[in-house]
Amino acid sequence: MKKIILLLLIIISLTAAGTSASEPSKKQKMSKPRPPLKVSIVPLNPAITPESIKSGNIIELKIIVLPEMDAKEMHIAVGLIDGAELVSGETSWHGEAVKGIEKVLKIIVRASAAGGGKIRAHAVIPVKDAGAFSAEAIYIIGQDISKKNMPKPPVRKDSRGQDIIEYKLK
Amino acid sequence: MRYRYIIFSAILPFLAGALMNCGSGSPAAKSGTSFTSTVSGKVQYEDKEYGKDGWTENTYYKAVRYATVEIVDSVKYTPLASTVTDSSGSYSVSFSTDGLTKVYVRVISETSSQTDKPDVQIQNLSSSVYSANGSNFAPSGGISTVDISISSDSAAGAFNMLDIFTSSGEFINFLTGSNPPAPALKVYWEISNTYGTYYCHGHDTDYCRSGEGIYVLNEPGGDTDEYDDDVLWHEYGHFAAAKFSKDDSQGGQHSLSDNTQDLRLAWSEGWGNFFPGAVKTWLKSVNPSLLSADSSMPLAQYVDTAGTIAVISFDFSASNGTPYIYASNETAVANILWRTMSETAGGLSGIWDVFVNYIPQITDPVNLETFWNGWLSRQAANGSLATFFTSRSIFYQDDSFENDNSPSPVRKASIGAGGEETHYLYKTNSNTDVDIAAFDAAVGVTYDIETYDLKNGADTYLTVLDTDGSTTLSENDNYDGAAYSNCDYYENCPINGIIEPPATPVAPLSSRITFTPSASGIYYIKVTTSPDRPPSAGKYGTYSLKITLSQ
Repeated sequence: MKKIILLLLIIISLTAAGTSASEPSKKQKMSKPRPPLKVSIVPLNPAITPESIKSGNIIELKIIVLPEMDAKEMHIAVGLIDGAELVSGETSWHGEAVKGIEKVLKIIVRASAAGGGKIRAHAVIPVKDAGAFSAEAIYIIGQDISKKNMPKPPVRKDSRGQDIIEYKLK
Repeated sequence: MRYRYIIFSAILPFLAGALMNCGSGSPAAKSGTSFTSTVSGKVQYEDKEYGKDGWTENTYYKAVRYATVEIVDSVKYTPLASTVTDSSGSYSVSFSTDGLTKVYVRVISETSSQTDKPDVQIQNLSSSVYSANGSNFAPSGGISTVDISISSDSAAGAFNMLDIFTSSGEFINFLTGSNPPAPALKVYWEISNTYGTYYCHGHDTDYCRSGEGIYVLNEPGGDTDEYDDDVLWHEYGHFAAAKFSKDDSQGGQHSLSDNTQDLRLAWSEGWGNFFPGAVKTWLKSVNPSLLSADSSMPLAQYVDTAGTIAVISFDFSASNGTPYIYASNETAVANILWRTMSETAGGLSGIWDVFVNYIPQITDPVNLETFWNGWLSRQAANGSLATFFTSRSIFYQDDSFENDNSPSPVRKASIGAGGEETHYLYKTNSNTDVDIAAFDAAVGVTYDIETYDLKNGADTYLTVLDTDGSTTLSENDNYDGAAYSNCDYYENCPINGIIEPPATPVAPLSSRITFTPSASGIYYIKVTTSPDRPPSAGKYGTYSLKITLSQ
């Protein structure tokens, strides 16, 4: 009986130790500074995904700029490239930024006849005598660009059994 | 070798020479039945120039300094010999050709711990070290030349980070005289992960899964930082603080424009913002060719690129026109450190002295107040910092009502509009500031007495004293009645009277008393720093006081 209790105590203590060690701790993460504004481009119809847009389709997009600081001056510029055409809407704006208050531009865009096209939105808050904060969003018709991936080369073993991952030249 | 390798094929401008065993020098040395081959060459990586607006589109090749170079058997993938590149990226290594048909040169993204140079490794999240390898060639004795040029579309990012963190370690060695030397650093680079760029001083299974080190991962949206030198130096600043000083920041997201940061966060990030400019200033004096910024850019300019743009481009030396103020703002902290380095006799060595010899000894949470106290304690003879602080609306000085540490019926606070007073919780040459103001109160009338507009991390404790100036009639620490002294993460710790995030109109660290005297007379209001202030707040700070007739 004593052995069973001892075993249980060991299991409990190991479990507790494991829990403690595996707890994610955001206290340990010292991040880089973030620009105090965010830009996003989203279709008015949330059911539309970049991949679902066909050549020549007309889509309505919202350019959303969220400043996280007050500023007397903020500039927004929207560019259409690689064949995307503006049907209507504002592609530039400047004015005062109010912390936490979104500035939204709505545009209607036609995808290129060949399919694809890009919409690029860029927002800047200049800081007198010091520099600027900016943010950018790119909406690529036909493509999700939220993630980048490194190439995945084949894994080999060396003579001692260690992994060697070899990347080939492009 | 104990590491697994990620091998990048690299450009070999002199491949033909290598294959043909060309070059000059001594003939093959015969040793028994085998020959000795010597391979030498230069290793470079493609660096990208940046300016205030981001990348300039200029690139050029820089030496891969102090990196491990190996000769590897192309058939068995076993290392045959190794050496280290010198400060110009040159290397030379000899090996026996016995039984070999083909070999290649491998450059590993680590500096050798066998040298007196900073020990840095660039790995992926599985602790595999990156490397760039040359093409295979047949060793036949003699001397071969194999130069390796690593282009920016392959593994050059790893070698840029190796160079940036090597220069960081060299900067630390300059500051310490290599006694102690810069500690070994592991850097984890992988762009298929979207956790961002940060320094971890511990381990967890999520953000810090590989243990302590600098993580250079992808940002959501595709931003990567392997070429953002200022971002990399910012994170090394955190590493240096953890290794040589004391850093009580709870970390997390932050921005340069936030004037209401946890004081610990503002100090930690302000130090991180200052650090790139300090390294660049030193590099410019000892080896300006190591800088990647265009020559027109101020040394204190911090640039973080994303795609083709600079999402942050900020000159921390800018002294005018910026709205970033208070000890609770990381930009203000960085500017004060920059000016301390640039405008005092103590300079960088004075800052480093306080950083390593004073701050680690302090038990209170480390913030800008700690640095101020440390400078007064150790570097006062090397220059005053007062004007740097006041230019950022940080007033560690007597306010206009000093000396008011003891009750006096002479100086009375006014009641109602126009009677507001602004005080600093600071008294020169004293450990404690007490602000006491008398006021005339009439029997039966109710007065609202409150501190408000708290800045620079102030946390007030308010007391109403009887007409004798000593008997406590009423007291209040926090406006909302809550206790914050045991708050842990910054989300739960209020600062400057505002809980963020989300911002609320409540001002919990300010104090308020509603007081109705039982007899007319001269009563006293006493304000001190709260003995139960949260670690996010400071001992000093600015507050306003007002007395109004209760509605």
